[in-house]
Amino acid sequence: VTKTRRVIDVSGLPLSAIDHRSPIWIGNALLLAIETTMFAILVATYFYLRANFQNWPPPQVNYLPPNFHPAPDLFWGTLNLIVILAAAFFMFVTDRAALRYDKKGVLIASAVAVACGLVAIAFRFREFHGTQFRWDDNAYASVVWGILFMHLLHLLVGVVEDTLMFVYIGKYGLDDKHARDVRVTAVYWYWIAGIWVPLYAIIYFGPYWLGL
Amino acid sequence: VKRLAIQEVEISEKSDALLHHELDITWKRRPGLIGWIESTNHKDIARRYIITAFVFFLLAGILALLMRIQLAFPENRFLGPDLYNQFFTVHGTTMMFLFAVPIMEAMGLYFVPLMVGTRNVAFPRLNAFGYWVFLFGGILLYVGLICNVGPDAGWFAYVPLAGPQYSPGKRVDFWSQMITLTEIAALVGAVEIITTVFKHRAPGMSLNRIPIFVWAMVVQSFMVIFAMPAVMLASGYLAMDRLAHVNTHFFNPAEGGDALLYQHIFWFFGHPEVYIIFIPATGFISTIIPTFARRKIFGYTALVLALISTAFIGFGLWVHHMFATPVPELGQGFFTAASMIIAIPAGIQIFCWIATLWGGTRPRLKTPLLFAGGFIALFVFGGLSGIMLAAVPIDLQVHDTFFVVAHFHYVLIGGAIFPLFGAFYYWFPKWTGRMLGESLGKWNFWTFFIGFNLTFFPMHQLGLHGMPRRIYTYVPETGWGTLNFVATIGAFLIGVSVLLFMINVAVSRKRGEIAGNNPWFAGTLEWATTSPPPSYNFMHVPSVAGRFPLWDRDELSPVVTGLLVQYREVLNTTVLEAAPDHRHELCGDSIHPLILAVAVGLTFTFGIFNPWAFPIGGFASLLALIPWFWSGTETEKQERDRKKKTAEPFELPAPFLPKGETS
Repeated sequence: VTKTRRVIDVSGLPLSAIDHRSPIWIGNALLLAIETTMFAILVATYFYLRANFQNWPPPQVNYLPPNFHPAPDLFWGTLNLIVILAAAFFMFVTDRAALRYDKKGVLIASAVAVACGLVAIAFRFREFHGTQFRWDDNAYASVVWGILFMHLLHLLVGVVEDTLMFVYIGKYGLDDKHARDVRVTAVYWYWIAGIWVPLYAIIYFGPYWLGL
Repeated sequence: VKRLAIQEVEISEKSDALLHHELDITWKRRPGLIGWIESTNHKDIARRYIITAFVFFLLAGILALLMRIQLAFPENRFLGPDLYNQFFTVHGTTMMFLFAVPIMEAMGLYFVPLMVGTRNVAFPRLNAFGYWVFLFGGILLYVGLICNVGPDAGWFAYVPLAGPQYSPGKRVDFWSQMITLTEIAALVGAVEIITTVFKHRAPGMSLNRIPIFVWAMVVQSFMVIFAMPAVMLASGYLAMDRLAHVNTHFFNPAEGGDALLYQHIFWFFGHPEVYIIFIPATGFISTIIPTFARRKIFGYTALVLALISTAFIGFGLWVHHMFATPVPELGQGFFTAASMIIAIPAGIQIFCWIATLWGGTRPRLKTPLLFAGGFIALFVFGGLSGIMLAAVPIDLQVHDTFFVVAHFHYVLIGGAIFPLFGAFYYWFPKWTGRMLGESLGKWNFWTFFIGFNLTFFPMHQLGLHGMPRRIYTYVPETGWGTLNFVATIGAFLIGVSVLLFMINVAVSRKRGEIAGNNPWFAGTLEWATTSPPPSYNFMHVPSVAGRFPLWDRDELSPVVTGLLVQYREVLNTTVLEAAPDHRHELCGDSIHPLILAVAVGLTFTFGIFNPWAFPIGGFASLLALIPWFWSGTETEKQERDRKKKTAEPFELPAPFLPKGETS
C-alpha cells in the first residue's frame, strides 16, 4: 500500500550553526545569567553590610600600628584587571580565527589566553593578600573575599575549558562543532572580564566612594 | 531565513516500519542495568524524577501525619519537642525542595519535548546529571534525619537560630548542603527547558503557537534562573559561617554581619519559589480545561501575558514575609501594593479558564477536570487569605500563627497539588498506555477535597485564636483541642486519598483500559505519538499550523524528513518563527553524568564536616568533567577514530616549536 505524504526535506540544512543560533550558545548565555544573578546578590550583600560599619573598610586593629583605612591594594588589583581584560582580548582573537577556520591562529591565540588566565589566577592570590584582612576577621572581609573567590572559580573553569579545547583542536583539528565551541568559550571569557570591571570598581574603589 | 519548499513523496507502510526499526536502534538505551544508568532519554530521566519526588512526597506526608497525631490532643507526649522540630523542618524542606519544584520541572522535562515536537531535550547528559545530583541531595537529608541529625531550625533556617551559636552540631549543615545540591538540579532543569523550547520546536510552532503549558514551563524556568542563585548563596553563607576553620561573619552581628540580610536573600528566592511551583500548575490547568471543554483556550495572549507578569511581580514582594521586622513604612506600602497587584494576573487566568469552560460544549466531568475545578475553588480561597496577609496590620496580628499555615497550604496544595493530581490522571495514559480508573479517581478527588478542607480550614480559626506555628504541644485551657482533633482526622483522610491514588496506579498499570494514542481527543502534540511514546518520540517530526496542532491539522500537513537516522540527529529551528535552521546531533547515553554527580555530591557531603572537601572535591569534579567534554557525539567519536588510524601527530603551531622545525 503506498500513499503520498507532504514533507519538508531538511537534509540540505547545515550540521551545526557557528553562532547564537546554536543551542549551546543559548545554554551558555543562561549559565551566565545564573552567575550574574549570583554576583548581583554578592554586590547587594556588600552594600547591605556597609550600613553596619562606621568606617568602610573597618579599621584593621590586629596589627601595630593599626591601619585605620585598610583599603585593598590597588596595584595588584588594577594589574590583574588588565591581565583579565587581556585574556578576554586574546579570546576575541581566538574567536575571529575560529570564524576563519584558522586552526593555527586558534591555537596560538588561545594559548596566549590560557597564559593570561594562569597569570590572573596567580595574581588573584596576591589580591587576597592585598585586602589586608583574613576572611574571618569581620563581615566586610567575608564579603570581599567572597567576591574575589567566586570570581576566581570562574577564572579556573575558563582556563580548564580553554586548555581542553587547545589540546582537542591540536590533536583532532578544527571542525564546525569545535569552532562553535571556541566561540562559546570566548563569550564565557567576555563575561568573566566584563563582570569583573564593576566588581573591581566596587571592591577597590568602594572604600573611597563609600567614605571613611 | 531560507524557506524550505514542501514536497510530495510516495511512502509505503513498509518504509515506515523500516524507519521505526532504524530510529529505535539509534535512540533506544542499552539493555540491562548499565543501560538504565547511562540513559539520557528525557522520558527515562523525567519518569525517575517524578517517581523519586513522589516518594519524597510520601515521606514528608508521613511526617505530617505524625505531627498531626502529636497535635491531636493537648499535652500529648507522642513526639518530644526535639523530634517535632526535626519533623516540621524536614516536612517543609522536603515538600518545597525535594517534591514540589522537582516534580513540576520533571513534568516539564517529560512533556515539553513532546509538546514542541522534538526527540530529546537540548542537553541530554546535563539532564541526567541534574537527576543524579537531586537524588544525592534528597538522600543526604533523610540520612541526616535517620541519624538524628535532621535539621531542626525550620524550612527557612533563620539566623541567628540556625547560626553556629544557637544550632551547634551538624543538623543545619545537612539542610544547607542539601539546598546546594537540589538547587543545582533545579537550575539544570531550567536551562534544559528554555533551550529546548527556544531551539527545538517543530517547524511552524512560532512563539504565538506554543502550548500554554510550555509557556508556563519557560516562564517558570526563567524564574528558577533568577531565584535559585539567591538561596544557594544564602545557604552557602550560612554553611561558611558555621563551618569550623572558615567561620565567615556574614550573619554574625558581633563582627558587622546581619541577621536580616539572611531573611532578605532567602525570601528573594522564597517568594518567587511559590510561583515557581504554582506557574507550572496553571499550565496543567490551561492544558486540561480546553481538552475537556472541547474548545481552544479563551484568551491565549492574556494568559501568556498573565504568566509573564506574575513572574515579574513575583520578584517584587519578598518583603511581605518580613513585615514583623523593622521595615520602613514606605517599604511596607510598596510591598503591600505589590502583593495585592499579583492577584490581578491570577484573576485574569481564572476568568480565562471559566470563559473556556463556558464557551465550550458541555464539559466532560472526568477526574482531571474535577481536580481542575477543585484547584480553582481552593486557590481562590487561599488567594483571599493571601490578600488579607498582604495588609500589614493583619499580618502583624497573625504572624507566625496557624493562620499562615492554613494560608500557604491552601495556595500550595490547592494551587499546585490539585492540578498535579489532575495532570497525573490526564497524562497517565500517555505514560503507560492505559487509563487510570475513573471511579477510584472520583473517590480520590472527593476524599482529598474533603480531607484537605477538614485539615486546613480549622487552622484559620486556630491562628485567629492565637495558636502559634511550630509548637509541639499546648495546654487544654487554650481550647484549641477540638479544632486540632478535627484537623488530624482530615489529615488522615488525605492519607487515605493518596493511598487510593496509589492503588489506582498499581491496578491500572496492569489492568487499566487501553488508552490508544489520544484518549481525550486533545489538541497538543504529545498525543500525536503512541502511548507510551517510542524512544525517539516521533517517527516524523511534525509541522505545526496552529495552537492546537492536532485539531488544526489534516492529511495535508507536511512532516519533516531528511534527518539522519543512524545518529541522534534533531532539527533546530529559529527562536521566534520556528523556521528550520540547522540540524544538530545530540550526545548519546553516558556514564559521565553519574560520575560527576557522585563527585559533586561527595564534595558537599564532606563539606559538612571539613572545608578541605571543597578544594579536593572541586578538583575531582573538574577531572570528572574532562572525559565528559572529551567523549561528545557519535560523529565526533568516529572522526577521532579516523584520525587515530591515519595517526596524525599532535600538531603544535610554529611558535611553540624549536627554531627551524615545522610540524
